[in-house]
Amino acid sequence: MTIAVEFKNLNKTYGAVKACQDISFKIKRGDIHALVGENGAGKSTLMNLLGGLEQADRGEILVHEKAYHPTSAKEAFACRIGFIHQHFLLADNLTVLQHLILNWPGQKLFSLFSNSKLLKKVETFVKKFNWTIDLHAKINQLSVGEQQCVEIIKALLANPDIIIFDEPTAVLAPQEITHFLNFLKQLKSEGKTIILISHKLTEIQEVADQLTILRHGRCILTSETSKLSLLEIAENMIGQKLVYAKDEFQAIEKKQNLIFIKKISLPLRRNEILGVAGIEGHGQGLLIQLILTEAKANSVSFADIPEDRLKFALFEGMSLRDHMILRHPQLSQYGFIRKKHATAVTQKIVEDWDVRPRNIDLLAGQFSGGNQQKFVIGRELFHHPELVLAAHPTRGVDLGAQQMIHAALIKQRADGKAVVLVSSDLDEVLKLSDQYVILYKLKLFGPFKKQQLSETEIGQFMTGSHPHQKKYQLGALT
Amino acid sequence: MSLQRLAPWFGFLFGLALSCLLALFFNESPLHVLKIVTTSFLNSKFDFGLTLFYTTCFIFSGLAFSIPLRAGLFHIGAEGQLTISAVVAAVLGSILPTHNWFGILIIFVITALTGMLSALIIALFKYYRKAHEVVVAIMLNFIFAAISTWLTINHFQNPNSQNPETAMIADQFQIFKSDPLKIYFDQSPISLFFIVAVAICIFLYWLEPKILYFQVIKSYGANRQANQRFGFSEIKILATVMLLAGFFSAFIGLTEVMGNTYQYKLGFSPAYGFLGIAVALLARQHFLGLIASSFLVAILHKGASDLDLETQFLTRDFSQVLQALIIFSVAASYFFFSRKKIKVESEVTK
Repeated sequence: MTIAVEFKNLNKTYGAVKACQDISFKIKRGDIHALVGENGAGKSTLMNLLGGLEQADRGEILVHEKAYHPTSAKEAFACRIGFIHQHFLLADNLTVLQHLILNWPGQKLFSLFSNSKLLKKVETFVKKFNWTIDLHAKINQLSVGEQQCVEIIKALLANPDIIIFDEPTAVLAPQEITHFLNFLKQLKSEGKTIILISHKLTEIQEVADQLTILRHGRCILTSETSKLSLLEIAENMIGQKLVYAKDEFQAIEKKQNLIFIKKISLPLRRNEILGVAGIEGHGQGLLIQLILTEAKANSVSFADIPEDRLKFALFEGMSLRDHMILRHPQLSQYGFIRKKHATAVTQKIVEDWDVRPRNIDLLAGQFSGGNQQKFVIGRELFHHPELVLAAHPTRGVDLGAQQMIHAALIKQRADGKAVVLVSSDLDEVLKLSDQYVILYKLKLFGPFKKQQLSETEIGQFMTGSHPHQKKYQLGALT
Repeated sequence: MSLQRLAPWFGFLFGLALSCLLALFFNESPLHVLKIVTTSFLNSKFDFGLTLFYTTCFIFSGLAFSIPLRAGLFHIGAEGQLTISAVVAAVLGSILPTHNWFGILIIFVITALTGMLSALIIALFKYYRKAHEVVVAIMLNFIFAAISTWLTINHFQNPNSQNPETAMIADQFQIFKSDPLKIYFDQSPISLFFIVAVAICIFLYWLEPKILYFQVIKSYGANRQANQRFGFSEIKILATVMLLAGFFSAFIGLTEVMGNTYQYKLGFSPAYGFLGIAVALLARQHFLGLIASSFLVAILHKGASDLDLETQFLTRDFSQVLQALIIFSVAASYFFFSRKKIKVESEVTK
């Protein structure tokens, strides 16, 4: 079998941080090759080198056994390497078609353009992969899953040979994930080489032929996926034995109401994790807004872990300490910042939550996604709020961090807080919540107890096809 | 210091070099032009004082631009605000019956309020009508210019002059005529306002990292949605930055009327409000940097104005071309040095 990509002693440093150290491994042509590692292991950096977004300090990349030194994403496209990013690079106010026109490789400035050729091509993709997507809808009207489809079509238009997917399933609903994994297999059957970065090891086991584990910027091993167990993969990622935190999930009987949200007749109770399941884009944002408004109106202190940290929780150009100062008024007195105090508490959060690097003067934008999320959660729980509102708290974070976040939510519950967990990851909702509601088209259904519904039934509620759907309706968000 | 921080200075030098080369088209030696532009402020004490007067105005207009920019607002309304403030100061100075310290206080307070309220309009339009601050500011610049002209010519015209200007303020209000700086610099336009401007910059530099609300403003500029999610009041932020901007714009009017000409002369400002943008961008909004960049732009402004006298073929208009080229290069340098910064996801920690 021929080799599609080969990394040879690749090195990349950012200041004092060694992001990639002597990384060498090969990716076979026509394989699905998974790249796993904790946050900050160097996965994204490595892919940015391959995608032409960054240049290596030392070392070499061979593509189809030829030397390859891209200096821009454009050059990577030219070498038929497609890159689908974790954070979509789409302009909200353009339509799908306009986006695709922009990325149509045959497109030249001032050339007369006929949509029909492009439309034809896009339609073949859509048909082939069984997608439903409105080409004339604006990007901001699409669900996250659909936006991802646009990203994928964008990449496929250039007819790439090697396709990089960075955390593709982090934003998808369960049905969409199954669909997506099938899609990957389909691409593979067409002879494409796929590089898949993911934190979800079960998915990797399902689709990947080979996998490479990175840790602290080094390549730990490359092996056939079938030869490793889940536990072995996880332990190699972390570099130590995996100790599962004891689930202190004890049943607590008497629960007090903290707030009652009239509009949707939903009580938020102390000592309870209320899960909110549902396909993304069915009103999660509105529900969160509603709960926040109610909490403010009832002067209940709350932690707000938002669905999109870059949009709602972080100022990329400001330091971690500045974030703490802004979020917690007690770190200032009469409008003056208590710098020493703020430094001490920020430092403690960074240490407690293992945010790396442990430099509170670094700007939020300089941390990797998982570390940003850990900081946001630490920051939000700092003032021991009564209500914890966690939307997709483990999106795009690694195993270790996931466990930490889950343990924190369970601890909040034990400490008598009301926790609302909004997640498109059904497993997460089912694992953590005492009871859950399901969102479908701005309507809430439930509440359901833990084992009350089978997974199929949940799926039916999520897609609005359950025969008794109406009976369970709580209220609507509009 | 990283290359990116120095970017505007590269732009500045590039613009200066480009405009000197442009002089070749007018049969002037670029080196000669460069020499006039960069050294004419040293010709005499008076010239140096004049340069410091320009510096004062540039510091204030730089402040009026850089504070809203912290909140992400591109404030180009200083020109209108300083015009209307200057008229108000001049009119008050000529009609107030009380000729003592209290009268001076009234002039200062009302002029400052005029600047602040005229700037507040931009914030209100932005918040309530979602109008873009640049558009509103451009409109207001015209409106304030028209009002000022109308007031000057129709109501407060200097009876002793045929030029469009207001009457002189009362002698008792001309306290800066005998201030030590003016005396030292041979009665050039400089006044104690220079010390005030520098002191404000130093004070703000010291104060900024200590005050919570400065961080709130900065966070609004950095990510509006997150700022709102944190629960900060948008109108309060917009009003604060615009009131501060208007306050500093008003000080340019005061510097001119109380410390230089003791009256309002139509068109006294050689676009201080707009040059303030270049000053603030050069300094990257750094409060101490503003002092340095104001001085630099003042030297240039002084030198460029002298081109008319010192060269055979270049006129006053060329000084504007020169300044425009420099502003353009400074702005372009931001683009040039930051275009590689477009990042997919920050990878510093990876």
